[in-house]
Amino acid sequence: MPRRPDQFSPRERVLLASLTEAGPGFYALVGVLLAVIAWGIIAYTVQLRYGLGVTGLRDHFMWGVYITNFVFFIGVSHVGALMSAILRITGAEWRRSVTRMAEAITFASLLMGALMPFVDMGRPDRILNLLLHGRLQSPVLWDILSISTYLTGSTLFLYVPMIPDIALLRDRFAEGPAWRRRLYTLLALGWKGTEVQRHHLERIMGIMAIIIIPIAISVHTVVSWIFGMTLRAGWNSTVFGPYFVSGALFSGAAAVVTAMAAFRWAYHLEEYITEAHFRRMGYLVITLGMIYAYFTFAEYITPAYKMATAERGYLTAVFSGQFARLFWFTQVGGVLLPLLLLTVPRISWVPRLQRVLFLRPVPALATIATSVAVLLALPAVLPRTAALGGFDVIRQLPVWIIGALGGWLFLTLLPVFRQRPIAAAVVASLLVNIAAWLKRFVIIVPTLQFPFLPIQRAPAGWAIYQPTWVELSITAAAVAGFVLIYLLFSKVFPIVSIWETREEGHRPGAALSPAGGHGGVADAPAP
Amino acid sequence: MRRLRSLLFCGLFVVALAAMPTRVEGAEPARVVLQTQSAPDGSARLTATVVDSRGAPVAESPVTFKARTTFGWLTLAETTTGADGKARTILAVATVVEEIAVEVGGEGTVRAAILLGARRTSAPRIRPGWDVLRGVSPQPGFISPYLVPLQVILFGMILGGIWATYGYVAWFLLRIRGAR
Repeated sequence: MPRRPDQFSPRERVLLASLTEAGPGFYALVGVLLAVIAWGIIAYTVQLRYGLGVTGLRDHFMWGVYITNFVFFIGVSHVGALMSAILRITGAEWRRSVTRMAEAITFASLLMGALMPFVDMGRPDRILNLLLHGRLQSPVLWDILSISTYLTGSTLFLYVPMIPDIALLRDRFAEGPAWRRRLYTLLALGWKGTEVQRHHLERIMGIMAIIIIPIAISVHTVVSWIFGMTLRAGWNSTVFGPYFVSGALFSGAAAVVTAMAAFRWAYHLEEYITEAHFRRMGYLVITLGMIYAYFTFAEYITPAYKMATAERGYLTAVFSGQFARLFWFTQVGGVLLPLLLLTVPRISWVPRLQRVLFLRPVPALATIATSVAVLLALPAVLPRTAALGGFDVIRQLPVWIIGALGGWLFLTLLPVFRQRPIAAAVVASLLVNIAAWLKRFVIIVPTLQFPFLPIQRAPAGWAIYQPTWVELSITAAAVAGFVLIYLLFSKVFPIVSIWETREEGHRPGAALSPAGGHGGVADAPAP
Repeated sequence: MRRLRSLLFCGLFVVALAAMPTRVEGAEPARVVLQTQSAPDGSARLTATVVDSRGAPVAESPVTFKARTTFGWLTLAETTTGADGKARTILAVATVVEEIAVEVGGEGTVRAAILLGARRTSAPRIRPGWDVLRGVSPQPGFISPYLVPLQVILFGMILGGIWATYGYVAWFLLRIRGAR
């Protein structure tokens, strides 16, 4: 007998809250996301009408923000499939509450990532030429083949473990809207939880968990090859494949942490997404971050040691020139600081910091805020080239002061983060993701600025790349699209696996066995 | 002295008058004729002849050649007519353009268009034959412009294997549906 939503068991009520509850906050968020997407569509129509001239892309800068988005989204997509598959195979029980979130991130970010090369095309009506006249020798065609293969695989990998839950929804929402009933009936594949069905499901999940790992790794390796197969300075690297894979896993794991915190907060999933989950995900992020830092070091130290002619300009621009601030932010703010945030608060002496007067939050934050305000006002007060013993006050001092203030702020907040490990994990993961996007930008754009033959006979503005409002609007729309897809997914399917978390509670040793009974799971209805 | 000054003033006035741009009656572009001449390599030579209302060629008249694309009119060239009233440009790949227009004058008030669709014969030969490719390719391995059998086999095995596995999974999903 189908139950109405108010007849769900307490456990189902919590886990299906994302499907049954939609307050004004949800509709406001969807409205904002739709508005951003609509603005992005307007920007794209401008680009279609007037061509790529409305973007910052020029003869020498054929790739910019769009390909940055492409590499970023494809990177973020990796962790869902990989993390879930590896944890499934190794039988890690704690993963049951978070794997679906990770797999849904894969699905949503792949959709957005795959869209970006089309946006980057000046003539999207010629897209079929890629298939008609594509060359199998070209990494661009490899990209198309691998991403379409990965999208298919990750969709299957997301869908298959959901079948028992979809069957549950089919039964529970029998009195719900017709589209829901039809969708769940179609996708549930007639699941009744029989022995034969469970046997088939176990087999499929085993196959997919194994095959998705090499596919996921190969996809981002192929993405790196569209750069690595060229002779351009900064791209011509043999470690680009593993470097991209490690960066993708690092940023993807951080994205999962953000999603975990968001859903935990929005739908009160504290019982299912515990501090222990954040701690374990934190270990994963730390490990992946250290691997990524190692590859970054190896990637840059090799050419920087030699400073060959072709790479000198590029490396100088990245280390100390035009792109230095971005580059060092990605290293300090995107790797070092998140790793410190995830590790240092656990050190036993951290609470003692609060005994030091200038490290207490209130006086410290007040002083830092005043300092920042003074720093912001300083350029307007002092002459632009005021010298202090040959030391350019305006240009040099703020960098060191900001660094010192940042360090002070970090020490001040350490005891706070120790008390709130989830907040520390979320701040760290947001920093990782912002820096990950900027790092892709630093990988793509500086190389294009330093071709083997100098840029000449081009208007002055064409020798540098600056994204325009069109590109930034489309980028914002892509991010909004990713969030919207993810949000809508959580409105149609449970974001935490019901049958797997039930097994976790009842049979901790079981790794891949879907639950039996009618519809896969059957909790007692609420009294 | 006063007479000399008057003469100098009159002379300067005449020189200034002569230097002012003049609009000769009848030199306004009234009609433009657009002609195309195709070449064997697929390109087309576009000639616009600008004449005034009396049929006389108009020199130094700004002319803009445009091509219709999927997303609007694309400016091909901006030039001026010569003494014979003709302006010319070369359309490199005529076969992918179906409609050409020419506009005369800043506002484009005088305009002519021509359809190239009727003279389209065949698509440009994008890929040379294998014999040509083998001859011109100095690159071994995967950079080679022609397909390497080993590469095709490698791709076929990897992609074929993955998609065959997907097929196997789909078959199992159907078995779930049919299972009792």
